[in-house]
Amino acid sequence: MNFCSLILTNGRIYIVNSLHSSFIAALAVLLSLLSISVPAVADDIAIIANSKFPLSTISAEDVSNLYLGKVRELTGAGVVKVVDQSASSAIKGQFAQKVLNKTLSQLNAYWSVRIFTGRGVPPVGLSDERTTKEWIANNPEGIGYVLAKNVDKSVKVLLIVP
Amino acid sequence: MFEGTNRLSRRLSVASLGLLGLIGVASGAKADDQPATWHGFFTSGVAFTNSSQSYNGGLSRSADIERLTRVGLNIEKSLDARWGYAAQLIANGKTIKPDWAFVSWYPMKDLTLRIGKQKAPMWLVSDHIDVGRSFPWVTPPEEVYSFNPVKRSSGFGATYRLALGGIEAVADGLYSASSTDTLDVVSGTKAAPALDVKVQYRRLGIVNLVVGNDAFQVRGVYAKAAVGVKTDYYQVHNLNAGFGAAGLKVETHGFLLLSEYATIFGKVDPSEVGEARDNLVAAATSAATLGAKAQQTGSAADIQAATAAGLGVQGAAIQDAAVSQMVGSRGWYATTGYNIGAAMPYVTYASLKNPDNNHLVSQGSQVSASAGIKYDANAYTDIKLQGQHVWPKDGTRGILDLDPSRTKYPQLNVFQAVVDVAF
Repeated sequence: MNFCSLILTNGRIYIVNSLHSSFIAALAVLLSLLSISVPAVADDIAIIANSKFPLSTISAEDVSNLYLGKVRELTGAGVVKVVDQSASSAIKGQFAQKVLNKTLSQLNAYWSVRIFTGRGVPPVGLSDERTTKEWIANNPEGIGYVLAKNVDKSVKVLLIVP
Repeated sequence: MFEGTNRLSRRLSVASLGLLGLIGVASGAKADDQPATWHGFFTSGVAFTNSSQSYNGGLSRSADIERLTRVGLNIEKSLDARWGYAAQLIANGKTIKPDWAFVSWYPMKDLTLRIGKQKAPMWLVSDHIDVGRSFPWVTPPEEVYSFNPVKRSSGFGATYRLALGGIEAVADGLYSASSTDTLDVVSGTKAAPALDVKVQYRRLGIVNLVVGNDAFQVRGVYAKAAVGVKTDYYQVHNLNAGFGAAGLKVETHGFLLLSEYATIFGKVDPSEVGEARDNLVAAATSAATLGAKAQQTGSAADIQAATAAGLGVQGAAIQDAAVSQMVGSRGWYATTGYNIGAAMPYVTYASLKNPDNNHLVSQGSQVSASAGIKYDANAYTDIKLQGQHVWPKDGTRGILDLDPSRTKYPQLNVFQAVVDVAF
Protein backbone atom coordinates (compact mmCIF):
# COMPACT_ATOMS: atom_id res chain seq x y z
CA MET A 1 0.00 0.00 0.00
CA ASN A 2 1.33 3.38 -0.95
CA PHE A 3 0.87 6.30 1.35
CA CYS A 4 1.44 9.67 -0.12
CA SER A 5 2.23 12.89 1.68
CA LEU A 6 1.92 16.45 0.59
CA ILE A 7 4.75 18.72 1.52
CA LEU A 8 4.20 22.40 1.05
CA THR A 9 7.28 24.52 1.18
CA ASN A 10 8.14 27.90 -0.21
CA GLY A 11 4.97 27.97 -2.24
CA ARG A 12 5.59 24.61 -3.95
CA ILE A 13 3.65 21.37 -3.40
CA TYR A 14 5.57 18.11 -3.33
CA ILE A 15 3.73 14.76 -3.48
CA VAL A 16 5.87 12.05 -1.95
CA ASN A 17 5.67 8.40 -1.04
CA SER A 18 5.74 7.84 2.70
CA LEU A 19 8.79 5.54 2.47
CA HIS A 20 10.83 8.38 1.10
CA SER A 21 9.02 11.28 2.69
CA SER A 22 11.71 12.09 5.24
CA PHE A 23 14.44 12.22 2.67
CA ILE A 24 12.39 14.21 0.16
CA ALA A 25 11.11 16.55 2.83
CA ALA A 26 14.69 17.31 3.77
CA LEU A 27 15.46 17.83 0.09
CA ALA A 28 12.49 20.16 -0.29
CA VAL A 29 13.63 22.22 2.66
CA LEU A 30 17.10 22.37 1.12
CA LEU A 31 15.61 23.48 -2.18
CA SER A 32 13.61 26.16 -0.47
CA LEU A 33 16.71 27.36 1.37
CA LEU A 34 18.58 27.43 -1.90
CA SER A 35 15.78 29.32 -3.56
CA ILE A 36 16.05 32.05 -0.93
CA SER A 37 19.55 32.69 -2.07
CA VAL A 38 18.41 33.18 -5.66
CA PRO A 39 18.29 36.92 -6.41
CA ALA A 40 14.75 38.34 -6.59
CA VAL A 41 13.40 39.38 -9.94
CA ALA A 42 13.43 43.15 -10.37
CA ASP A 43 9.63 43.57 -10.11
CA ASP A 44 9.02 41.08 -7.31
CA ILE A 45 7.31 42.63 -4.31
CA ALA A 46 8.37 41.66 -0.80
CA ILE A 47 5.83 41.76 2.00
CA ILE A 48 7.95 42.79 4.96
CA ALA A 49 7.49 42.99 8.71
CA ASN A 50 9.37 44.02 11.79
CA SER A 51 11.98 41.46 12.87
CA LYS A 52 9.95 40.90 16.08
CA PHE A 53 6.73 40.20 14.18
CA PRO A 54 5.39 36.87 15.52
CA LEU A 55 4.74 35.26 12.12
CA SER A 56 7.42 34.17 9.67
CA THR A 57 5.13 33.85 6.64
CA ILE A 58 1.84 35.29 5.47
CA SER A 59 -0.57 34.30 2.72
CA ALA A 60 -1.41 36.60 -0.19
CA GLU A 61 -5.07 36.37 0.90
CA ASP A 62 -4.24 37.66 4.39
CA VAL A 63 -2.22 40.50 2.87
CA SER A 64 -5.15 41.40 0.61
CA ASN A 65 -7.62 41.30 3.51
CA LEU A 66 -5.40 43.54 5.64
CA TYR A 67 -4.83 46.09 2.88
CA LEU A 68 -8.52 46.18 1.96
CA GLY A 69 -9.46 46.77 5.58
CA LYS A 70 -11.45 43.54 5.82
CA VAL A 71 -9.49 42.35 8.85
CA ARG A 72 -7.39 44.13 11.45
CA GLU A 73 -5.74 41.16 13.06
CA LEU A 74 -4.17 37.83 12.15
CA THR A 75 -4.31 34.58 14.04
CA GLY A 76 -1.04 34.25 15.90
CA ALA A 77 -0.11 37.88 15.47
CA GLY A 78 -2.97 39.86 16.98
CA VAL A 79 -3.73 43.34 15.71
CA VAL A 80 -1.55 44.35 12.76
CA LYS A 81 -0.65 47.83 11.52
CA VAL A 82 -0.29 48.02 7.77
CA VAL A 83 1.47 50.78 5.92
CA ASP A 84 1.05 51.62 2.25
CA GLN A 85 3.16 53.48 -0.31
CA SER A 86 2.23 56.88 -1.63
CA ALA A 87 -0.13 57.10 -4.59
CA SER A 88 2.62 58.50 -6.80
CA SER A 89 4.95 55.52 -6.33
CA ALA A 90 5.17 52.98 -9.13
CA ILE A 91 5.16 50.05 -6.72
CA LYS A 92 1.71 50.95 -5.37
CA GLY A 93 0.09 50.26 -8.74
CA GLN A 94 1.96 46.95 -9.03
CA PHE A 95 0.95 45.95 -5.51
CA ALA A 96 -2.70 46.84 -6.15
CA GLN A 97 -2.74 44.79 -9.35
CA LYS A 98 -0.78 41.76 -8.15
CA VAL A 99 -2.00 41.41 -4.57
CA LEU A 100 -5.33 43.23 -4.40
CA ASN A 101 -6.39 42.37 -7.96
CA LYS A 102 -7.51 45.96 -8.61
CA THR A 103 -6.39 48.90 -10.67
CA LEU A 104 -5.62 52.06 -8.72
CA SER A 105 -8.89 53.53 -9.91
CA GLN A 106 -10.84 50.46 -8.76
CA LEU A 107 -8.97 50.58 -5.46
CA ASN A 108 -9.97 54.21 -4.92
CA ALA A 109 -13.57 53.44 -5.81
CA TYR A 110 -13.48 50.56 -3.30
CA TRP A 111 -12.17 52.84 -0.57
CA SER A 112 -14.74 55.48 -1.48
CA VAL A 113 -17.43 53.06 -0.32
CA ARG A 114 -15.58 52.08 2.87
CA ILE A 115 -14.59 55.61 3.86
CA PHE A 116 -17.89 57.33 3.20
CA THR A 117 -19.92 54.71 5.03
CA GLY A 118 -17.54 54.89 8.00
CA ARG A 119 -16.31 51.33 7.51
CA GLY A 120 -12.61 52.18 7.54
CA VAL A 121 -9.91 54.18 5.87
CA PRO A 122 -7.03 53.03 3.69
CA PRO A 123 -3.61 52.40 5.23
CA VAL A 124 -1.38 55.44 5.52
CA GLY A 125 0.84 55.85 2.46
CA LEU A 126 4.50 56.59 3.15
CA SER A 127 6.62 58.55 0.75
CA ASP A 128 9.14 55.92 -0.36
CA GLU A 129 10.60 52.50 0.31
CA ARG A 130 13.31 53.76 2.65
CA THR A 131 10.69 55.45 4.84
CA THR A 132 8.62 52.26 4.74
CA LYS A 133 11.50 50.14 5.98
CA GLU A 134 12.28 52.65 8.73
CA TRP A 135 8.64 52.66 9.83
CA ILE A 136 8.51 48.84 9.84
CA ALA A 137 11.74 48.67 11.82
CA ASN A 138 10.18 50.90 14.49
CA ASN A 139 6.77 49.15 14.68
CA PRO A 140 6.83 45.57 15.97
CA GLU A 141 3.28 44.96 14.73
CA GLY A 142 3.90 46.61 11.37
CA ILE A 143 3.61 45.15 7.87
CA GLY A 144 4.50 46.87 4.61
CA TYR A 145 5.82 46.16 1.15
CA VAL A 146 8.83 47.14 -0.93
CA LEU A 147 10.49 45.89 -4.09
CA ALA A 148 12.18 42.61 -3.22
CA LYS A 149 15.52 43.88 -4.52
CA ASN A 150 15.43 46.66 -1.92
CA VAL A 151 14.96 44.43 1.14
CA ASP A 152 17.69 44.76 3.75
CA LYS A 153 18.41 43.34 7.20
CA SER A 154 16.31 45.95 9.03
CA VAL A 155 13.15 43.98 8.18
CA LYS A 156 12.11 40.39 7.57
CA VAL A 157 10.36 39.03 4.50
CA LEU A 158 7.01 37.30 5.00
CA LEU A 159 6.11 36.74 1.36
CA ILE A 160 7.54 37.33 -2.09
CA VAL A 161 4.93 38.22 -4.70
CA PRO A 162 6.30 37.53 -8.21
CA MET B 1 -46.33 59.56 19.94
CA PHE B 2 -44.21 61.31 17.34
CA GLU B 3 -42.96 63.87 19.80
CA GLY B 4 -42.01 61.20 22.35
CA THR B 5 -40.15 59.00 19.91
CA ASN B 6 -38.54 62.00 18.24
CA ARG B 7 -37.15 63.01 21.61
CA LEU B 8 -35.73 59.50 22.03
CA SER B 9 -34.15 59.66 18.59
CA ARG B 10 -32.70 63.10 19.28
CA ARG B 11 -31.31 61.93 22.61
CA LEU B 12 -29.55 59.03 20.89
CA SER B 13 -28.07 61.29 18.21
CA VAL B 14 -27.01 63.88 20.75
CA ALA B 15 -25.58 61.12 22.96
CA SER B 16 -23.54 59.72 20.10
CA LEU B 17 -22.25 63.16 19.13
CA GLY B 18 -21.46 63.85 22.79
CA LEU B 19 -19.65 60.54 23.02
CA LEU B 20 -17.64 61.46 19.95
CA GLY B 21 -16.68 64.72 21.61
CA LEU B 22 -15.61 63.03 24.85
CA ILE B 23 -13.59 60.42 23.00
CA GLY B 24 -12.07 63.12 20.84
CA VAL B 25 -10.97 65.07 23.92
CA ALA B 26 -9.63 61.94 25.56
CA SER B 27 -7.79 60.87 22.43
CA GLY B 28 -6.26 64.30 22.06
CA ALA B 29 -4.39 63.71 25.29
CA LYS B 30 -2.56 60.69 23.91
CA ALA B 31 0.83 61.64 22.54
CA ASP B 32 1.30 58.49 20.47
CA ASP B 33 -2.05 58.62 18.70
CA GLN B 34 -2.30 58.43 14.97
CA PRO B 35 -3.83 61.65 13.68
CA ALA B 36 -7.42 61.77 12.52
CA THR B 37 -7.81 61.18 8.79
CA TRP B 38 -9.89 63.50 6.63
CA HIS B 39 -11.48 62.56 3.35
CA GLY B 40 -13.98 64.21 1.07
CA PHE B 41 -16.05 63.80 -2.04
CA PHE B 42 -17.46 66.17 -4.57
CA THR B 43 -19.89 65.77 -7.43
CA SER B 44 -21.14 68.39 -9.82
CA GLY B 45 -22.85 68.20 -13.15
CA VAL B 46 -25.85 69.10 -15.21
CA ALA B 47 -29.13 67.36 -15.94
CA PHE B 48 -32.00 68.20 -18.26
CA THR B 49 -34.79 66.56 -20.24
CA ASN B 50 -36.45 67.12 -23.59
CA SER B 51 -39.92 67.09 -22.04
CA SER B 52 -42.44 69.83 -21.32
CA GLN B 53 -43.41 67.85 -18.24
CA SER B 54 -40.95 67.88 -15.34
CA TYR B 55 -39.53 64.59 -14.09
CA ASN B 56 -38.31 63.09 -10.84
CA GLY B 57 -38.69 66.14 -8.64
CA GLY B 58 -38.24 69.07 -10.99
CA LEU B 59 -35.94 67.90 -13.76
CA SER B 60 -36.95 69.83 -16.87
CA ARG B 61 -35.68 71.33 -20.10
CA SER B 62 -33.77 73.90 -18.08
CA ALA B 63 -30.24 72.77 -17.28
CA ASP B 64 -30.17 71.94 -13.58
CA ILE B 65 -26.78 72.01 -11.86
CA GLU B 66 -27.88 72.16 -8.23
CA ARG B 67 -29.55 68.74 -8.08
CA LEU B 68 -26.33 66.94 -9.02
CA THR B 69 -23.97 69.07 -6.94
CA ARG B 70 -22.91 67.99 -3.47
CA VAL B 71 -19.85 68.00 -1.24
CA GLY B 72 -19.02 65.69 1.65
CA LEU B 73 -16.39 65.88 4.35
CA ASN B 74 -15.46 62.87 6.42
CA ILE B 75 -13.35 62.36 9.55
CA GLU B 76 -12.20 59.05 10.97
CA LYS B 77 -10.15 58.51 14.07
CA SER B 78 -8.76 55.29 15.50
CA LEU B 79 -8.36 55.67 19.23
CA ASP B 80 -6.56 52.39 19.60
CA ALA B 81 -6.67 49.01 17.93
CA ARG B 82 -10.23 48.38 19.18
CA TRP B 83 -12.00 51.73 19.25
CA GLY B 84 -12.63 54.44 16.73
CA TYR B 85 -15.16 56.96 15.56
CA ALA B 86 -16.21 58.48 12.26
CA ALA B 87 -18.50 61.29 11.17
CA GLN B 88 -19.54 62.92 7.92
CA LEU B 89 -20.99 66.26 6.85
CA ILE B 90 -22.76 66.77 3.57
CA ALA B 91 -23.61 69.97 1.70
CA ASN B 92 -26.19 70.05 -1.06
CA GLY B 93 -27.28 73.37 -2.50
CA LYS B 94 -27.32 75.84 0.36
CA THR B 95 -27.76 73.20 3.06
CA ILE B 96 -25.00 71.75 5.20
CA LYS B 97 -26.01 68.97 7.57
CA PRO B 98 -24.50 66.10 9.52
CA ASP B 99 -24.85 62.94 7.46
CA TRP B 100 -23.92 60.38 10.11
CA ALA B 101 -21.69 59.97 13.16
CA PHE B 102 -20.94 56.84 15.15
CA VAL B 103 -18.49 55.10 17.45
CA SER B 104 -17.03 51.72 16.47
CA TRP B 105 -15.75 48.92 18.64
CA TYR B 106 -13.88 45.85 17.43
CA PRO B 107 -14.25 43.33 20.27
CA MET B 108 -12.82 40.42 18.30
CA LYS B 109 -11.51 39.48 14.91
CA ASP B 110 -14.11 39.87 12.15
CA LEU B 111 -16.71 41.56 14.37
CA THR B 112 -17.46 45.30 14.49
CA LEU B 113 -20.10 46.97 16.64
CA ARG B 114 -21.32 50.53 16.13
CA ILE B 115 -23.52 52.99 17.97
CA GLY B 116 -24.79 56.29 16.61
CA LYS B 117 -26.35 57.61 13.44
CA GLN B 118 -25.53 55.34 10.51
CA LYS B 119 -26.32 54.99 6.83
CA ALA B 120 -28.79 52.18 6.26
CA PRO B 121 -27.66 49.43 3.87
CA MET B 122 -31.08 49.13 2.20
CA TRP B 123 -30.44 48.98 -1.53
CA LEU B 124 -27.09 48.13 -3.13
CA VAL B 125 -25.58 51.63 -3.09
CA SER B 126 -27.98 53.37 -0.74
CA ASP B 127 -25.44 53.72 2.08
CA HIS B 128 -23.05 55.60 -0.23
CA ILE B 129 -25.52 57.05 -2.70
CA ASP B 130 -24.08 60.57 -2.45
CA VAL B 131 -20.60 59.42 -3.46
CA GLY B 132 -20.73 59.36 -7.24
CA ARG B 133 -17.20 57.99 -7.47
CA SER B 134 -18.39 54.73 -5.93
CA PHE B 135 -20.79 53.58 -8.70
CA PRO B 136 -20.89 53.59 -12.51
CA TRP B 137 -24.03 55.65 -13.19
CA VAL B 138 -24.49 59.41 -13.03
CA THR B 139 -27.29 58.64 -10.58
CA PRO B 140 -28.47 55.17 -9.52
CA PRO B 141 -31.59 53.98 -11.39
CA GLU B 142 -34.56 55.93 -9.99
CA GLU B 143 -36.86 52.97 -10.65
CA VAL B 144 -35.33 51.43 -7.52
CA TYR B 145 -33.73 54.31 -5.67
CA SER B 146 -36.70 56.69 -5.75
CA PHE B 147 -38.40 54.55 -3.12
CA ASN B 148 -35.39 53.91 -0.95
CA PRO B 149 -37.25 54.00 2.35
CA VAL B 150 -34.51 54.52 4.93
CA LYS B 151 -31.43 56.59 4.32
CA ARG B 152 -29.93 56.67 7.80
CA SER B 153 -30.89 55.57 11.25
CA SER B 154 -29.78 56.17 14.82
CA GLY B 155 -29.18 52.96 16.69
CA PHE B 156 -26.93 49.96 17.01
CA GLY B 157 -25.12 48.23 14.17
CA ALA B 158 -23.00 45.13 13.84
CA THR B 159 -20.92 43.64 11.05
CA TYR B 160 -19.62 40.09 11.09
CA ARG B 161 -17.32 38.67 8.45
CA LEU B 162 -16.88 34.96 7.85
CA ALA B 163 -14.19 33.72 5.46
CA LEU B 164 -14.92 30.40 3.77
CA GLY B 165 -11.92 29.61 1.62
CA GLY B 166 -11.98 32.00 -1.31
CA ILE B 167 -15.51 33.13 -0.45
CA GLU B 168 -16.49 35.54 2.28
CA ALA B 169 -19.83 36.22 3.86
CA VAL B 170 -20.44 39.60 5.46
CA ALA B 171 -23.54 40.12 7.57
CA ASP B 172 -24.61 43.63 8.53
CA GLY B 173 -27.30 44.28 11.08
CA LEU B 174 -28.83 47.56 12.18
CA TYR B 175 -31.43 48.11 14.87
CA SER B 176 -33.09 51.35 15.82
CA ALA B 177 -35.69 51.74 18.55
CA SER B 178 -36.80 54.99 16.97
CA SER B 179 -35.43 57.01 14.11
CA THR B 180 -36.65 59.79 11.87
CA ASP B 181 -35.68 60.27 8.26
CA THR B 182 -36.72 62.24 5.19
CA LEU B 183 -37.72 60.36 2.07
CA ASP B 184 -35.49 60.71 -0.99
CA VAL B 185 -38.48 61.18 -3.24
CA VAL B 186 -39.53 64.39 -1.56
CA SER B 187 -36.90 66.54 -3.19
CA GLY B 188 -39.32 69.22 -4.26
CA THR B 189 -39.42 71.12 -7.51
CA LYS B 190 -38.51 74.62 -8.55
CA ALA B 191 -42.18 75.53 -8.60
CA ALA B 192 -43.02 73.74 -5.36
CA PRO B 193 -40.01 73.73 -3.02
CA ALA B 194 -39.10 70.69 -0.97
CA LEU B 195 -41.67 69.68 1.57
CA ASP B 196 -40.59 68.39 4.90
CA VAL B 197 -41.99 64.87 4.90
CA LYS B 198 -40.63 63.16 7.97
CA VAL B 199 -40.94 59.43 8.09
CA GLN B 200 -40.51 57.80 11.42
CA TYR B 201 -39.38 54.24 11.91
CA ARG B 202 -39.85 52.42 15.17
CA ARG B 203 -38.35 49.04 15.91
CA LEU B 204 -36.45 49.22 12.65
CA GLY B 205 -34.36 46.14 11.99
CA ILE B 206 -32.23 45.60 8.90
CA VAL B 207 -30.24 42.51 8.02
CA ASN B 208 -27.96 42.65 4.99
CA LEU B 209 -26.00 39.61 3.83
CA VAL B 210 -23.34 39.70 1.11
CA VAL B 211 -21.68 36.49 -0.06
CA GLY B 212 -18.99 36.28 -2.69
CA ASN B 213 -15.48 37.29 -3.61
CA ASP B 214 -13.81 40.10 -5.54
CA ALA B 215 -15.38 38.98 -8.81
CA PHE B 216 -18.86 37.80 -7.81
CA GLN B 217 -21.22 38.91 -5.07
CA VAL B 218 -24.79 38.03 -4.18
CA ARG B 219 -26.67 40.26 -1.78
CA GLY B 220 -29.91 40.00 0.14
CA VAL B 221 -31.58 42.47 2.48
CA TYR B 222 -34.58 42.18 4.72
CA ALA B 223 -35.90 44.97 6.92
CA LYS B 224 -38.97 45.53 9.03
CA ALA B 225 -40.34 48.55 10.86
CA ALA B 226 -43.41 50.26 12.17
CA VAL B 227 -43.60 53.35 9.97
CA GLY B 228 -45.28 56.66 10.58
CA VAL B 229 -45.56 59.67 8.30
CA LYS B 230 -46.29 63.11 9.61
CA THR B 231 -46.66 66.33 7.65
CA ASP B 232 -48.83 69.40 7.85
CA TYR B 233 -51.41 67.66 5.65
CA TYR B 234 -50.96 64.06 6.44
CA GLN B 235 -50.44 61.77 9.39
CA VAL B 236 -50.24 58.00 9.42
CA HIS B 237 -49.06 55.79 12.24
CA ASN B 238 -48.17 52.15 12.57
CA LEU B 239 -47.77 51.18 8.98
CA ASN B 240 -46.16 47.78 9.38
CA ALA B 241 -43.75 47.71 6.51
CA GLY B 242 -41.31 45.11 5.29
CA PHE B 243 -38.54 45.87 2.83
CA GLY B 244 -36.70 43.35 0.73
CA ALA B 245 -33.98 43.47 -1.89
CA ALA B 246 -31.76 41.04 -3.72
CA GLY B 247 -28.78 41.97 -5.82
CA LEU B 248 -25.98 40.59 -7.93
CA LYS B 249 -22.60 42.07 -8.78
CA VAL B 250 -20.11 40.54 -11.19
CA GLU B 251 -16.85 42.39 -11.83
CA THR B 252 -14.13 40.46 -13.59
CA HIS B 253 -11.75 40.86 -16.52
CA GLY B 254 -13.06 44.37 -17.16
CA PHE B 255 -16.67 43.20 -17.31
CA LEU B 256 -19.29 44.60 -14.95
CA LEU B 257 -22.81 43.39 -14.24
CA LEU B 258 -25.01 44.96 -11.58
CA SER B 259 -28.56 43.93 -10.99
CA GLU B 260 -31.00 44.50 -8.17
CA TYR B 261 -34.61 43.89 -7.28
CA ALA B 262 -36.24 45.81 -4.45
CA THR B 263 -39.71 45.91 -3.01
CA ILE B 264 -41.74 47.21 -0.11
CA PHE B 265 -44.47 44.90 1.04
CA GLY B 266 -46.07 46.67 3.94
CA LYS B 267 -49.79 47.01 4.58
CA VAL B 268 -51.57 50.31 4.95
CA ASP B 269 -54.61 50.26 7.15
CA PRO B 270 -57.29 51.79 4.87
CA SER B 271 -58.99 53.43 7.82
CA GLU B 272 -55.84 55.42 8.52
CA VAL B 273 -55.28 56.81 5.06
CA GLY B 274 -58.72 56.62 3.51
CA GLU B 275 -59.98 60.05 4.54
CA ALA B 276 -56.73 61.78 3.70
CA ARG B 277 -56.63 60.08 0.32
CA ASP B 278 -60.27 61.04 -0.43
CA ASN B 279 -59.58 64.66 0.40
CA LEU B 280 -56.53 64.65 -1.78
CA VAL B 281 -58.31 63.17 -4.78
CA ALA B 282 -61.08 65.75 -4.39
CA ALA B 283 -58.55 68.58 -4.25
CA ALA B 284 -56.73 67.22 -7.28
CA THR B 285 -59.94 66.96 -9.25
CA SER B 286 -60.82 70.53 -8.32
CA ALA B 287 -57.36 71.72 -9.38
CA ALA B 288 -57.71 69.89 -12.68
CA THR B 289 -61.03 71.67 -13.29
CA LEU B 290 -59.47 75.03 -12.47
CA GLY B 291 -56.59 74.24 -14.82
CA ALA B 292 -58.94 73.39 -17.68
CA LYS B 293 -60.86 76.61 -17.07
CA ALA B 294 -57.65 78.65 -17.07
CA GLN B 295 -56.63 77.12 -20.38
CA GLN B 296 -60.01 78.05 -21.87
CA THR B 297 -60.26 81.60 -20.58
CA GLY B 298 -56.57 82.52 -20.43
CA SER B 299 -57.40 84.97 -17.67
CA ALA B 300 -54.58 85.86 -15.29
CA ALA B 301 -56.80 85.31 -12.25
CA ASP B 302 -57.85 81.85 -13.42
CA ILE B 303 -54.25 80.90 -14.18
CA GLN B 304 -53.20 82.10 -10.75
CA ALA B 305 -55.99 80.15 -9.05
CA ALA B 306 -55.19 77.01 -11.03
CA THR B 307 -51.48 77.32 -10.31
CA ALA B 308 -52.06 77.76 -6.58
CA ALA B 309 -54.43 74.81 -6.48
CA GLY B 310 -52.02 72.73 -8.51
CA LEU B 311 -49.08 73.47 -6.25
CA GLY B 312 -51.11 72.71 -3.17
CA VAL B 313 -52.19 69.38 -4.57
CA GLN B 314 -48.70 68.64 -5.72
CA GLY B 315 -47.35 69.17 -2.23
CA ALA B 316 -49.98 67.01 -0.64
CA ALA B 317 -49.60 64.41 -3.36
CA ILE B 318 -45.89 64.12 -2.77
CA GLN B 319 -46.62 63.46 0.85
CA ASP B 320 -49.24 60.93 -0.04
CA ALA B 321 -46.74 59.30 -2.35
CA ALA B 322 -44.51 58.83 0.67
CA VAL B 323 -47.18 56.58 2.09
CA SER B 324 -48.33 54.96 -1.12
CA GLN B 325 -44.76 54.04 -1.91
CA MET B 326 -44.64 52.14 1.32
CA VAL B 327 -46.89 49.54 -0.18
CA GLY B 328 -46.27 47.36 -3.13
CA SER B 329 -43.68 49.37 -5.03
CA ARG B 330 -41.25 47.06 -6.72
CA GLY B 331 -38.42 47.92 -9.02
CA TRP B 332 -35.47 46.28 -10.65
CA TYR B 333 -32.64 47.11 -12.96
CA ALA B 334 -29.73 45.47 -14.76
CA THR B 335 -26.59 47.33 -15.76
CA THR B 336 -23.74 45.92 -17.75
CA GLY B 337 -20.51 47.57 -18.81
CA TYR B 338 -17.04 46.82 -20.06
CA ASN B 339 -13.77 48.58 -19.29
CA ILE B 340 -11.85 49.75 -22.33
CA GLY B 341 -8.75 51.36 -20.88
CA ALA B 342 -9.89 54.13 -18.56
CA ALA B 343 -13.38 54.25 -20.07
CA MET B 344 -16.35 52.06 -19.30
CA PRO B 345 -19.40 52.26 -21.57
CA TYR B 346 -22.50 50.82 -19.93
CA VAL B 347 -26.19 50.23 -20.55
CA THR B 348 -29.04 49.93 -18.06
CA TYR B 349 -32.61 48.69 -18.27
CA ALA B 350 -34.85 49.49 -15.32
CA SER B 351 -38.48 49.00 -14.36
CA LEU B 352 -40.74 50.35 -11.62
CA LYS B 353 -44.15 48.93 -10.86
CA ASN B 354 -46.52 50.61 -8.45
CA PRO B 355 -49.89 49.00 -7.84
CA ASP B 356 -51.39 52.36 -6.84
CA ASN B 357 -52.31 53.56 -10.30
CA ASN B 358 -54.10 56.79 -9.40
CA HIS B 359 -51.93 59.08 -11.48
CA LEU B 360 -53.12 62.15 -9.61
CA VAL B 361 -51.73 61.15 -6.29
CA SER B 362 -49.00 58.59 -6.54
CA GLN B 363 -45.86 57.76 -8.37
CA GLY B 364 -46.70 55.25 -11.06
CA SER B 365 -45.07 52.60 -13.20
CA GLN B 366 -42.42 53.07 -15.84
CA VAL B 367 -39.51 51.47 -17.63
CA SER B 368 -36.37 53.15 -18.89
CA ALA B 369 -33.33 52.31 -20.96
CA SER B 370 -30.12 54.25 -20.64
CA ALA B 371 -26.62 54.25 -22.04
CA GLY B 372 -23.63 56.03 -20.65
CA ILE B 373 -19.91 56.16 -20.33
CA LYS B 374 -17.70 56.53 -17.28
CA TYR B 375 -14.18 57.79 -17.82
CA ASP B 376 -11.58 57.60 -15.06
CA ALA B 377 -9.64 60.83 -15.52
CA ASN B 378 -7.30 59.77 -12.72
CA ALA B 379 -7.42 57.55 -9.64
CA TYR B 380 -9.60 60.09 -7.80
CA THR B 381 -11.76 61.58 -10.55
CA ASP B 382 -14.24 60.31 -13.07
CA ILE B 383 -16.37 61.96 -15.73
CA LYS B 384 -19.72 60.45 -16.70
CA LEU B 385 -22.18 61.08 -19.50
CA GLN B 386 -25.58 59.39 -19.59
CA GLY B 387 -28.67 59.43 -21.79
CA GLN B 388 -31.94 57.79 -20.80
CA HIS B 389 -35.30 57.18 -22.43
CA VAL B 390 -38.32 56.82 -20.12
CA TRP B 391 -41.64 55.17 -20.91
CA PRO B 392 -44.45 55.79 -18.36
CA LYS B 393 -46.54 52.62 -18.13
CA ASP B 394 -50.04 51.44 -17.21
CA GLY B 395 -51.56 54.87 -17.83
CA THR B 396 -49.62 56.33 -14.92
CA ARG B 397 -47.17 59.19 -14.70
CA GLY B 398 -44.25 56.95 -13.70
CA ILE B 399 -41.79 59.26 -11.97
CA LEU B 400 -42.92 62.32 -13.92
CA ASP B 401 -43.99 65.09 -11.59
CA LEU B 402 -47.67 65.55 -10.94
CA ASP B 403 -49.56 67.87 -13.25
CA PRO B 404 -53.28 67.85 -12.39
CA SER B 405 -54.18 69.31 -15.79
CA ARG B 406 -52.83 66.25 -17.59
CA THR B 407 -54.50 62.94 -18.17
CA LYS B 408 -51.63 61.49 -20.18
CA TYR B 409 -47.94 61.67 -19.48
CA PRO B 410 -45.32 61.69 -22.23
CA GLN B 411 -42.26 59.60 -22.92
CA LEU B 412 -39.12 61.62 -22.41
CA ASN B 413 -35.34 61.64 -22.63
CA VAL B 414 -33.07 62.55 -19.73
CA PHE B 415 -29.50 63.74 -20.26
CA GLN B 416 -26.95 63.97 -17.47
CA ALA B 417 -23.23 64.67 -17.13
CA VAL B 418 -21.14 64.80 -13.97
CA VAL B 419 -17.64 65.00 -12.58
CA ASP B 420 -17.06 62.93 -9.43
CA VAL B 421 -14.10 63.34 -7.14
CA ALA B 422 -13.23 61.40 -4.00
CA PHE B 423 -10.08 62.11 -2.02
